[in-house]
Amino acid sequence: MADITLTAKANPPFQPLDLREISPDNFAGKTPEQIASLPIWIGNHPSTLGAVFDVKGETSATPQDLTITIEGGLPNSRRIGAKMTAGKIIINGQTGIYAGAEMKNGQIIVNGDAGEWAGLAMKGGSIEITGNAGNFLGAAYRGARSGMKGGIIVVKGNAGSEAAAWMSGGLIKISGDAGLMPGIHMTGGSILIGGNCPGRVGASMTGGKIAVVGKTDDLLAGFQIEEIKDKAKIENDKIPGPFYAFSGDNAEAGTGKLFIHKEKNPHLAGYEAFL
Amino acid sequence: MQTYQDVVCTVCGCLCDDIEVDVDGNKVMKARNACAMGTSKFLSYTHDRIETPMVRKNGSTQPANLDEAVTKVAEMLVNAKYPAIYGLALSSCEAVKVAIELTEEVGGVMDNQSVVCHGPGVLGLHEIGVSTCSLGEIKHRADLIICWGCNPDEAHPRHFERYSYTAKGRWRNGKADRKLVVVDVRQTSTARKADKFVQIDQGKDYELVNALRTALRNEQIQQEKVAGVPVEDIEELAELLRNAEFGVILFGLGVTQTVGKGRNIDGLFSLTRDLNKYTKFQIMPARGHFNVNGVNEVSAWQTGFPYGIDFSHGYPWYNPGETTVTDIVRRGENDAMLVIASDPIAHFPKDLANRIRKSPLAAIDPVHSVTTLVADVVIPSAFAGIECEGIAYRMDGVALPLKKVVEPSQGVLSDEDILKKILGKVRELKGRSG
Repeated sequence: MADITLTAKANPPFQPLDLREISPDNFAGKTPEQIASLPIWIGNHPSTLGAVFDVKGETSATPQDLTITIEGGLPNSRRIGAKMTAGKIIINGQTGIYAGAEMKNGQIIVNGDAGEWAGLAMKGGSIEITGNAGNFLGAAYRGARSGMKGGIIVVKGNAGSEAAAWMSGGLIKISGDAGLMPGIHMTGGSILIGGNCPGRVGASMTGGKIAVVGKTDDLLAGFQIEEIKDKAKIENDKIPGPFYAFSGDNAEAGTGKLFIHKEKNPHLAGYEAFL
Repeated sequence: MQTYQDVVCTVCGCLCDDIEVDVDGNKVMKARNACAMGTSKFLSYTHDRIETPMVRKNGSTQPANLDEAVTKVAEMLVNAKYPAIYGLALSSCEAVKVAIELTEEVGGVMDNQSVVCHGPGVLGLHEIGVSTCSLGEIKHRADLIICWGCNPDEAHPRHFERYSYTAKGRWRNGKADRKLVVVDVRQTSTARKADKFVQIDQGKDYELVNALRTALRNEQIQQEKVAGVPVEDIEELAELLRNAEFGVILFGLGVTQTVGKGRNIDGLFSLTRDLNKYTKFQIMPARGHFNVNGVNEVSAWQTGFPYGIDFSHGYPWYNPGETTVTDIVRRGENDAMLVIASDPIAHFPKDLANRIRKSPLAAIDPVHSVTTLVADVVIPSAFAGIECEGIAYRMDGVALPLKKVVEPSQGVLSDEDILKKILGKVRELKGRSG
């Protein structure tokens, strides 16, 4: 195993920092000096990683054995770990937009908050965010109609709106609250929301599963109740209930499944008349 | 006295092109056929005008000559690492074209008022697609008009008379042959004229759209009320939509800027798509500023994207939420801003307005605004459609030529010419030729 540490220099630029070069795939087989000379963008100015970070440590020949640790929060960063296929990135601090976008394999751990579009259209691997995630977690790029396809995203805090838009596979676990419209247009995959959600769960979903363990607002009209289940099964986890199980979204002729915690949502008791 | 015929009004997205303007000695005396807003603009365009370019020196703005102001703006843009260029919805397409060239040259971000207006509708369009038509088709064919979250009676006063509800078309003789349905959170003056008014709970547009789509598929709705509307009424409305011969939904900021934003329009576009299984149905945004559609159109055919276009890497990149001016300012990532024909300091939320003021700010505008009051450089410009010519796009995407009916004041140029001067200066500073 090899470790390389990037420590953010004092007074980093406030303009967008395009850091798409930070991935084990790009660092493998390079010396710290070579890594420091990798290209980045500060706004519209081309620069190098060395201008923003002190680079220390050793790299391995292959990305599989490499761990990159980033010390310091850069909320204006873009695309850390984008398209990575192996290895590990640990970010100790806040990270910006597109962390782990389109990643195929490997692991990203964010010890802090992540910005919007973390795990955009990711295909595999794992992202763990110990803080909060921004909007569009694991979602699709605008107009792409293909969001997260595989892999796992775990958020210990809260997530923003439209998590998992156009998701077709994989798993998203949010321990805290989710924003509006989790799983909009999803066609497959699973979402577990440990906390509350303001509403529109599974809007226009045609497949996949969403479980809400906390409270949610009224469901969309396109969902019909099917049964009351003691447990909800999300991938390998069995979440203790009881849960109202719904299918929908009928507005899209969908066959997705919603599990909404019964006791936390007494305002949905009216649905029991349709069982 | 000279009378100009078929002048295009430059207030709202209706772009009424039947205005007759009387001019006597470089002064507009009368504007016939225009609504109150149009008349007011034609008769009072001389009010509150900026007399001279201004440049901030030692804390206060001082009158300056045009070259000095242009040089200041060019330096501001060239020295910035992430400049934003914003506005243009009240300008001509020709000016938009130069602004795009300028943004590319300085590696900045170009955005327009759609971001706080109908931009979210574009996001719905990307993913669902849109079935739309011209205003002429509505006039001649539509038998069902739905105003959803918009109030054309007050915001587009001649829309009904020229293009929709009360217009006498070839196959529809005014309102006798049409039905007007209004969906809104309060009884607007449009709603008072409607054959059917559906009053919904605030921020529940998506819920109602979803219920309508569910009802259209004859699926059971297991709730008593959705968005505050009884389910029987929703089913009745779905039936009304299904049985129209040619229906059209006009939507406004009441849906684009409420909870869910672009997803509300995603839902409305999906509803329109679904309705086309049964009948002919169209949907159209009721655009506000007269050429906000033009900025979207010109940006889209020049760069591929309608708003929020980031040239920082040398090629256009777009992702509203990342590259839109509101979000860039919210994150504090821009280091200069040029505003053209807009007033973001007055229109954006207070904390964003405060952040805009933290970096160099320049404004090009014919009249005083809150933005020109706080800007570091101000350049006065001529009113497109009154003092200079140009092209503008109507809300349905029809391009119309704007007329010049009076001469601008001595030394006052059009937005296009000012931007060309700035672009020339930028290229000079960067040691490049056009």
